[in-house]
Amino acid sequence: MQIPQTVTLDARLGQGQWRARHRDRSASDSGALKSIPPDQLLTAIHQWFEKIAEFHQGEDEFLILQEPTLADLRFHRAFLVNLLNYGEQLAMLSWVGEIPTNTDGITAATIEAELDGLYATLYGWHSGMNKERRLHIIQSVFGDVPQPKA
Amino acid sequence: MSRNPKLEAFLLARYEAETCGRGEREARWATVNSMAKTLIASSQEKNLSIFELIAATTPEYRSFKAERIREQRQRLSRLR
Repeated sequence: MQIPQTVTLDARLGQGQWRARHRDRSASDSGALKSIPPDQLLTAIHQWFEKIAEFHQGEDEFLILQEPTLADLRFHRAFLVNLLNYGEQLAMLSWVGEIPTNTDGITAATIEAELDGLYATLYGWHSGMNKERRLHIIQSVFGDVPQPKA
Repeated sequence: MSRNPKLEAFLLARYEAETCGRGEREARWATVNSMAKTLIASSQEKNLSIFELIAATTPEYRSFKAERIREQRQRLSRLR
């Protein structure tokens, strides 16, 4: 995946907030806020969605329908973190720029919803929760539940 | 499979949020969040986060989703 423009996330600690900044390489390096061209942003979002679909296909094959190997889990996490990283940058660019009206109904909220799903996947598969804690939560929230085969 | 009605409903909500059309995703995840909050509020683990609940139920979710994928594939193979 290639991010179409340079994006930097600056911590403006003095102001107590984070700001997304798109730095245009062709302009002077003043750090002025500038939005990405809307058509490029929409294209990048579509590319991201395609990668997410590809990721979930692989997840179904290697983690859901098969017993995943350590390598499968490692690859899954790396791919997922990459998608999250890119998605967070797209979300920031959507804030500083504007997603053009489109027939697919993609808005900044659509990106946030995708990010929610990806974070749920990250926690679901890679939180490292131990079995005792897991079973305790299941018991506390749902009562008795027969456990799936390991 | 779990066959616990509360858990089944939660797994189904997560499945629908993951597999629905992109336009529905925001509403579907809102349903998952709302269901998780209700479940947590009525449990003894009031400080549990939604992500912890998702992590705890992932092995059950894996079985749930695998069953659905296999059913879909069987249906498709019958159609061909």
